[in-house]
Amino acid sequence: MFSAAIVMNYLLASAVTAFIGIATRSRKLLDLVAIAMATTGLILSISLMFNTINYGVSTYMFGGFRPPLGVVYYADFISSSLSLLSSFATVVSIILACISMDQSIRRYFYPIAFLLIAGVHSFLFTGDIFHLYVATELVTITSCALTAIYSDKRNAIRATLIYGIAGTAITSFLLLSVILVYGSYGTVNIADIALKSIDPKAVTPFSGGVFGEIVSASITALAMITWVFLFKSGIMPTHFWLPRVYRSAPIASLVLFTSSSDILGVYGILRIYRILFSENSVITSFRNTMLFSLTAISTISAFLSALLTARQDRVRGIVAYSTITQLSLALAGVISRDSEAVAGGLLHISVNALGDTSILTGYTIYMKNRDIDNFSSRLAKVLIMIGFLNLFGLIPIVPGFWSKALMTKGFLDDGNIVGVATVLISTGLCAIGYFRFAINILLREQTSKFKVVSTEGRYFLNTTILLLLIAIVLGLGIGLTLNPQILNIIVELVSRSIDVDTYIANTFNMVNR
Amino acid sequence: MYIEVEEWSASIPVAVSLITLGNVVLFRVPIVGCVLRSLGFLSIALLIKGLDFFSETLLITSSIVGIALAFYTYAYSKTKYGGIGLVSLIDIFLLSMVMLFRAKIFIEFITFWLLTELIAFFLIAYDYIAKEDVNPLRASIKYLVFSMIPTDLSLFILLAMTGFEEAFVTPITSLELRITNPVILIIVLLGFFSKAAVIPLHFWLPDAHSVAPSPASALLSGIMVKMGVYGLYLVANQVIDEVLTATTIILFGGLTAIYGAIQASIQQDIKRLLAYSTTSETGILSIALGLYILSKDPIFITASALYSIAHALYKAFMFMDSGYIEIAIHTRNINELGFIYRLSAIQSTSVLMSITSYLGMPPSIGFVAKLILFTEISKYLSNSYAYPAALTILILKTIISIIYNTVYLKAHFGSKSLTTSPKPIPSREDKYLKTSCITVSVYSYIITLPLVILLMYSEPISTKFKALDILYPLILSLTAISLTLYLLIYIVIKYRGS
Amino acid sequence: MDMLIVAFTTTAIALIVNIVIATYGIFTDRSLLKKVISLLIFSDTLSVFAILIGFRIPKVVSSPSPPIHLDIPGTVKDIEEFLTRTVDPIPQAFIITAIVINLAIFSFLAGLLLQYYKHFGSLDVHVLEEEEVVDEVY
Repeated sequence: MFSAAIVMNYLLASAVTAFIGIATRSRKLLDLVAIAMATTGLILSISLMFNTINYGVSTYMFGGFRPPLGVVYYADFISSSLSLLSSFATVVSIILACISMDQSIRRYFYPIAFLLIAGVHSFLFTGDIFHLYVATELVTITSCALTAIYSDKRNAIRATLIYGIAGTAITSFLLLSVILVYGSYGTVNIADIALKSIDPKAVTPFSGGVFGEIVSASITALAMITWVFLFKSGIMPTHFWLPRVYRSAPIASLVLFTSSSDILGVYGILRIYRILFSENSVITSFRNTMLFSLTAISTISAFLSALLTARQDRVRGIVAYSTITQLSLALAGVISRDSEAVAGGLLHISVNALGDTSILTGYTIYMKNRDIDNFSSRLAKVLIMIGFLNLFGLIPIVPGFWSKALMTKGFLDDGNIVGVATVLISTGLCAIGYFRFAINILLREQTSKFKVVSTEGRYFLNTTILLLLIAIVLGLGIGLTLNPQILNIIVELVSRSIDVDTYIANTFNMVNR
Repeated sequence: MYIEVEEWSASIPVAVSLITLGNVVLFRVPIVGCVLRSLGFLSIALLIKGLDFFSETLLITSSIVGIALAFYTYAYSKTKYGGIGLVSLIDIFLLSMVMLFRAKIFIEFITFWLLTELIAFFLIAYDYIAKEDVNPLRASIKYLVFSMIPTDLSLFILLAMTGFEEAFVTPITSLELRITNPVILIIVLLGFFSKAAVIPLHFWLPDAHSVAPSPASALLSGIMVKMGVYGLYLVANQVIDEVLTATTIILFGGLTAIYGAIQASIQQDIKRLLAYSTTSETGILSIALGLYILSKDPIFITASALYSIAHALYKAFMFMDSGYIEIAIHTRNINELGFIYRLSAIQSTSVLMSITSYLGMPPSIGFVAKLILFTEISKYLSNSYAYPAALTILILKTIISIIYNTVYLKAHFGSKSLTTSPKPIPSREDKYLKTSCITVSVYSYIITLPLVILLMYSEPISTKFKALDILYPLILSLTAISLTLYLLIYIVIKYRGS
Repeated sequence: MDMLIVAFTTTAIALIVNIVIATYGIFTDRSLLKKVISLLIFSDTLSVFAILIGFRIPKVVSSPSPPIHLDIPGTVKDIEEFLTRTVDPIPQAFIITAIVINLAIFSFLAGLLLQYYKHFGSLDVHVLEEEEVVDEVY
């Protein structure tokens, strides 16, 4: 129930903010409504989180149609935690837009941002691959729009066109694989396909048995979908769009990208490889080959992008390449056989999002208040440092430490020493870029190299958002350090979420919850 | 092995608050600030207790070096950078290492280890932060890649092996990890090698230690490399393949000892000379540790603990001295030096004291350490090829160390004369610098007696090493004699210099 | 019936050739406008492909009929006839959705192309990228 409520809330927020933006000149009302709607979304996400922890899963049938027939929303621990992450990022992003964006741009920004988040959430919750395609398209086009929102920035237009054309082309392959899967399986429900890919003779109500030859269709679909999701997360061979977008998009959009739209690729791969075509499916040998090549790709991608991170000296470059590195590491964790590594990979996604958000927010506020040495500019410095420490992840009071520790443990239990080395060496290489930047920005006296956009007040919002982020990052880290058994609970919940039999059973015995 | 006494629960707050207060006061009344910080570091030795003899000696060493650096860092920072930003960074660095050596559970160990590493990164890059010099940044990046990353790799592997929960509850001393996979074992060893700058990952150290500010170099060389040895000691207590571990450690340790010593002998820059000498010393320490793993005889640990103290005091002093030379003359090239004894007789006398102490002049701590180490190795000579090999390396290294120490002495007692008159150091800072230096070198003599008494009451040493009973009165008299001797030497140098 | 199979096979081959050409165009052509046109061809090809799958080759034997059941309530034979002969409507539903999405995307891309032309004076993708003004916070 909550899952649909969240999506509806964001769609409504999009419509309402668009209406207010057109109808009134009052920017205060617009900001207030946007922040209120984003906060509502966050509260709904938290409720969803509690709901899934209590009941194991939270599901919703659209129009009351039973699963193979209708579209369903299926929110387990993984999707609800990622939903919480992106709802939180929405709040931060909206506040950041209030602080940093021009007044005339904000009325375009809010509806598109809410639409993006609605798309992200339907991607996270959906139990239907066609709906997955629709959500992907929605996310692609809205993130394009958010990149190009300042239409007078020519590099932004260029980045958007490259991203838009490549993104649409790649997403069309997702449509092609959906059609192929439908043509052979006769259904688009994920649980139904998962069941039939394990047992081709299975017969379910409404969709019946499989329709055609499923092996070659599954292989083609799996290969194509993998590339689509690698592109969405910007893993190395398909990363060309990501640094361009990160160099030219507004900061408020970047906060959204790094914690919602870019994580979808890794999440999608987790869903496809764990649920849709699971370990015992008919294409298991091809799946293993793909998993092996994915491991190789993620390792190479992590190393190369870490080396590139070390060479960056602008905050956007660092955030871009560091995102590629951390998402590659998360991918390596997610496709590992060990559920601890999977949990570590998912935690690492959140860590990367929180770290990038901290750095970008702190940097924006710091640059805007640089000339007025006040409380919030000093707080911003602290936040940037915490963000870098979190991404580096070597002090137990930041969550980055625990995601790396979990992944290390998972890889070690799996006997994958290369994975252990990849995690630690690539974050270490990234640290060169982080700390060089931190020294240059924070510790040395700056010669005024950067143009100060405005030094307007907004003192209350600045301080609130900075304190909020510091509290969240440190609170999460210290919470994990003081209660390491939380990690075991997370691993337990994650391993229950990636179990395909549970997924199928929960979908077919669905109640609206 | 070690007398059990409960640690006073408020000991850490006392030490930390004394040092913090000292740092705050330092802005207004420097002398009170320095005294408070010295007291804080003194309280570390008196109040904070280690886990066993090794960690206890490391704590005592940190405390002594901290006391000596309390005045030195202030004067150095004030003269070289004009501000006192370096002081608090150095204090946090040392405190973090102290917390590491007293860590009771593994997660504490990891936390402070990583904190120490992070602060060390900023200390090495300090000249870049303060003066925009690019070389320190390069050195610190080299340190990050070749020392931090490998060590983190091994720490994370160990943490993963504990399964997290054990890291929070089990004391370090009773941790029993099964490191059976040889690849993982080698990775873990390499990680600690990189911190101790043992051969395959040694090359970061000369750069890092020579570009850091001198008080930082003193801590990096004197104490931080011991962290690597402490880590290896930790690994030695787990369930491991003993022969493989011991062979690896002794082989690479031996290579490092010889290579570092030879490199040190041919350096022109005094700080690089000292840095190479550090790699050579950690080679010897790891050899002692390897022999401990091979023989399971705890006296090797005692020997290497004593050797650590000797080396830490020596290296702390030498880097303080090189910092003094740098501030006074603005050069570190040996060929341009050779007249320090004319400028400051007391500085040159303390160099002499420190070097002879380290080379093993009788009542000094270096003497006791070498005595125990040599005697122990000779006891086992017929057991395995490792022992004669270790003995040979030790002797070779001692010979070469005489060479590079002589080279260093040329900076003080050379034939060159002063061509340009250097910019004088403000009198208060000059006094602080010299007092700190002489304190450290005197320490290396007078600390022997309490340590020998401590050893006499510690379990395996007192039964196995009867010679201590004879040594004890001898050391007392020799200490008095040698201190008088150095007083005479000081007078001679003073007379010659003027 | 044979003619039907031949026609379907020809269409299928044509569609595959179309996909190859469109992909080639998207990834190699220098002109952004031509890239967008290739993209359009690609998505339309996919729509036709989905419609083709709706015909349920080779299970639908002959003369496919629209998925509308006229005789209510029909006999069992009527329903059987209906089940074997009708075209599957679900791919058409998919395609309607996809077409709507594509409409939005292509109008957006067209707008972007206009902006691009305004900024760079050409639609070539390999224009000289200028060093951006150092203004990172916006």
